[in-house]
Amino acid sequence: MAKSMKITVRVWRQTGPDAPGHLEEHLVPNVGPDMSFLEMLDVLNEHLIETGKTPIAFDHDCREGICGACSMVINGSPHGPRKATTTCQLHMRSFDDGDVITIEPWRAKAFPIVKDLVVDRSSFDRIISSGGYVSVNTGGAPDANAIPIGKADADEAFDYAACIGCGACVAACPNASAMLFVGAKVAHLAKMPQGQVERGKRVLNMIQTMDNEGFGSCTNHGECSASCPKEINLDAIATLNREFMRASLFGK
Amino acid sequence: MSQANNSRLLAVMNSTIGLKLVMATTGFVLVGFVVAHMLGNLQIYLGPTVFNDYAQMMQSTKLVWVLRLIMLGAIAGHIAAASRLTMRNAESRENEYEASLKSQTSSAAGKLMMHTGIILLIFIVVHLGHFTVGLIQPENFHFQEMLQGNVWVRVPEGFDTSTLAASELRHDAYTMFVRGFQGPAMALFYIVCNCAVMFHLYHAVASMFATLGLSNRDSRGLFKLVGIKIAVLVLLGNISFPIAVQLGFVHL
Amino acid sequence: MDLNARIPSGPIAKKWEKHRFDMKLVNPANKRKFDVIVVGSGLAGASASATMAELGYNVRCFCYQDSPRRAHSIAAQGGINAAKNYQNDGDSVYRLFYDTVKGGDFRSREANVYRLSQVSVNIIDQCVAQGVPFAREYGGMLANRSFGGAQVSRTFYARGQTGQQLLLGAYQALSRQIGLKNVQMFPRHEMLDLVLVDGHARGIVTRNLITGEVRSWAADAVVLASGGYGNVFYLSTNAKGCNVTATYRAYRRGAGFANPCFTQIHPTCIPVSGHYQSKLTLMSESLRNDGRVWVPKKKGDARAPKDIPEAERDYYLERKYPSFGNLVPRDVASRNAKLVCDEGRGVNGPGSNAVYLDFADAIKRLGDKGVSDRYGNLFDMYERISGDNPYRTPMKIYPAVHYTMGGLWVDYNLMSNIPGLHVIGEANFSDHGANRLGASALMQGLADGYFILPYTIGNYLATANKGKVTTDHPAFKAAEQGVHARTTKLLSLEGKRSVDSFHRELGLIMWNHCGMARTREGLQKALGLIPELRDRFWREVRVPGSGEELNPWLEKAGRVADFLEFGEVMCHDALTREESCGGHFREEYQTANGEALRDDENYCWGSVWEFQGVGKTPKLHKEPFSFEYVKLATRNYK
Repeated sequence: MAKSMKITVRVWRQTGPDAPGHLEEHLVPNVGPDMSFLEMLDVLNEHLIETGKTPIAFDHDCREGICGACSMVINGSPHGPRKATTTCQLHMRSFDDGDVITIEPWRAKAFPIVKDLVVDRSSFDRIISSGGYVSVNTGGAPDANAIPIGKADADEAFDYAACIGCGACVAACPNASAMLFVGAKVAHLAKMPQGQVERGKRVLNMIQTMDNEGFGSCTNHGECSASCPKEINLDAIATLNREFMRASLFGK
Repeated sequence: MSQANNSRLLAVMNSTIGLKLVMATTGFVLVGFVVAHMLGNLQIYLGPTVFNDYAQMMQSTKLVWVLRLIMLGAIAGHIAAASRLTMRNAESRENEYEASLKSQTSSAAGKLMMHTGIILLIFIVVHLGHFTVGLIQPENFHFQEMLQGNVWVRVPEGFDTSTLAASELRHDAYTMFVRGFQGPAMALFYIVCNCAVMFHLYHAVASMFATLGLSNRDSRGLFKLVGIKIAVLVLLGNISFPIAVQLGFVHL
Repeated sequence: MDLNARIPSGPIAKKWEKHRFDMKLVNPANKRKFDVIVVGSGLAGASASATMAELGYNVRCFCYQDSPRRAHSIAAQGGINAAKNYQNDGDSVYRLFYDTVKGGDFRSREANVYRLSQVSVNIIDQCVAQGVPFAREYGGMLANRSFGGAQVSRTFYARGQTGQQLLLGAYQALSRQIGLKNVQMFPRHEMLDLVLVDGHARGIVTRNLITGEVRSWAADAVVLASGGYGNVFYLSTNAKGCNVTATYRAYRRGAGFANPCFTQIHPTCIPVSGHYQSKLTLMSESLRNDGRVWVPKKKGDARAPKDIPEAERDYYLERKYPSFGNLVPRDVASRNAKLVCDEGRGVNGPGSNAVYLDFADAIKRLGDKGVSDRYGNLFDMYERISGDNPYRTPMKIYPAVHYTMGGLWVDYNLMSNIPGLHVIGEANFSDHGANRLGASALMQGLADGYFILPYTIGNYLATANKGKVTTDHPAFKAAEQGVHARTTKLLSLEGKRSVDSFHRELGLIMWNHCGMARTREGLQKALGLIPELRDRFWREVRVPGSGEELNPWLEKAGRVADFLEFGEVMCHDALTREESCGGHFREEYQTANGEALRDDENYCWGSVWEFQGVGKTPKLHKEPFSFEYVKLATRNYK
């Protein structure tokens, strides 16, 4: 029979965007190692509901590491201690009996707190809608095989496109910079022939939006990539810088 | 230049990446200077004649003023961009984490860039006052060499140089250098400041390549190593001077 | 109920072309004047919103997630089918059509399926033009694989994240239209009612999930792209937020719900590990290409898998289906797993609900590296979740609810029986019959959204001509009041139990009696248990917090309350369909060796249920299916 653990969580509680927040402590007895981190919080929440208290709000949806909804900083690490793992795929076997776990929301000016651990990441959507696309209307696309794309290029583009938009990069960055997120999209489209036409305009517009949203700047620490559950490479940022320079100098 | 180009460049220069590019390009100039400066000064080990020849060569050329202007511009640009970015970054996360972020890849050097930068600024001011303008320890600044035959010799104390032509006199940089480092406090100051230089360069060089979009997954490690090597060599070279003087290897 | 499918006349290959010509067009200058509401931002909703906005309509798109990019289409792993025949292996529009009708066990509408196959080729073109990084060969051409037992390689893929890449393509197209202000996006908004004026769908009522504001939205047409209802089982591979509320609310307003009992169980999921389990994780069925499925021959054999000698293992799929072996269709693989576990030969400790999926042979053949090249990310995922290393010990798998073929009834124009209410993607019932083929869900969502609805909705808007309504209309006020009343009631209940605990209980009833195998007795029992559970829910549940804030438990409570009504509709449907077909297996109707026994004589129709009131048996209508092009035949995978 799998061991059962006692876990103490210190979790950030905040009733609204402008309300003051604080850490609240709860003991969760009977935590199984096969539980996911969110299931541990489910169990706690169920207990809070049954005892007439207010459960903890957190974002989550697919619980299989792809939708990018879950977003908690666990003991100072976005998505917790396991590499390349979202919070929803983190399991309690990564913790020990008696552990005290501090759980906080992403903290960034561009991600205002909605409630408890829930933040507003619509700034990411605004960045994409300012240029993170190929302007092609439905219909009239040429045959899919009309333009060959080398496997290496397609694979690299995919590596960047694998971003799930969770915001861990921003949460991990000492400057709350969104360069890895923006870089991933710019690099993905810059790698594809379809992305060439709007290459310059795209990067200038996306950077302008990124700056207006209040994200910080990149100081090349690399924490973003190290915390990224999809392991987006830092090359995304170098590519972003390059694309930006190219667009600034040549306007395209 | 057209209106559109103008506003584009303005926007570019005001963007976070634009400012970062200013940091990187001015940084490139400054790193180049620091390395060349250190290498040039190694001639102190070749004796007064060689060193003073070098100093005379540097001062006699008009180029030195061009270089000084470039350096001044680079420093001003570097500081201006750095302060804007630092303020921005400070605003990008209004509330800090309760459990501070775990570092995975970031170095202390990287996080202390602003601190070491401020030390550097103080250092530059003191250093210029010390060896370039002669405001600090002015008594060391007025030593001269005179031409005897075709050999430069130190002007003895109390010697009246008014009879000599300007071309027969030159600044005795060697003596200024040695006397400048004879005080243990000043020697220590230089050693400490050069440690700050080392820390600054440790992060700066690799960061510069990343910001300029030159590094990628294959070269990132190499650039990091190059940065560390430059930082350490500059440190060793520069602190060797006060140490050598203190230990009497280099003397009058 | 008007169930005229409005299938165009003429030969099947010409129907869509003819129909596009026959449909009325909206003058380009007039398109601006039409408001369209889209509920849901997955593949179908995002692609439809973007395309309609490109055409010039004013689009408002609503989703419950914090961003349209998080819709659950994102989790689809395997791929997307298209009849491109790039591999020169004999594929064609007709073959894809044939496979889909046959795979659906002859419970779908031929004309719709044919059109789906036709536009499948355009989807790939469109997605590539958007910059979707599909897998490629070294020569730069698109790569294909064979999927789900298909005999041609027609599946396009982007590693194991095809759904993600296609959704991001659609999301980016949508984002572009948001940036251009042609689409107004409302994330964290949940549709809680549909509003009819003069019999036409003219708007919706939503709750802003952040502020709690209940608000009406009027439009000239409403599109539901709100996905499937697999979460009625509590445990499924769906995202936690997936729900039936949008379609169920439309059903309560008179839309017909078609074939609700057609649910798909996916055979290769990670088994349940405990009571706290909140969802099940699917692993691509491509694993069955190299993994061998087995259980011990002996009941209750508790030895570690490596200690069970070859002779004491039962590779039951290979034994029973020598020609397809481990690659039998999803429903067959799932049912057989249940069968061996019911015999007590499951391998997951107490409860014993799992079978082994063993890669030892593949590793012997290909080496760790070879296996990792093919399945590395899946193996990593399995290890992350289960804590076991599948390179060293066999995976444990068990079937889980994955997709729902049933949905709101729609005609050839993807319009429900309520004029103006269009339903696309998994939310409708149209194309997959009783069983969906692998890699066809993505195809259908995008076909509906990019290439079908944007045309057909124009026909409705051009011909219906009903004039504008505003949200001041009494129908909106009444609907808003209904939403308020329900919210207030949920919050005022002074029970002690969590919403989840009721959801779990409902899920268990559904899984036991309306899951992989169904019986008359079981379904009748469920029809007794569900109303009883529903009554208890409305007495004993506690919904914390208020209605004027972000309140995930209030959201959940509303969704579970709908599931508690909808579960009954499913059971009625399963009870009425006295045959076994596709994902619907009635134990009474099987051949001597346990295969599904379809009854084309009496059940070759789609069931369409009409709401009669909560707790009342809904009224059954039938849309007969005729098969002119694909001959009715029994599936055989022996």
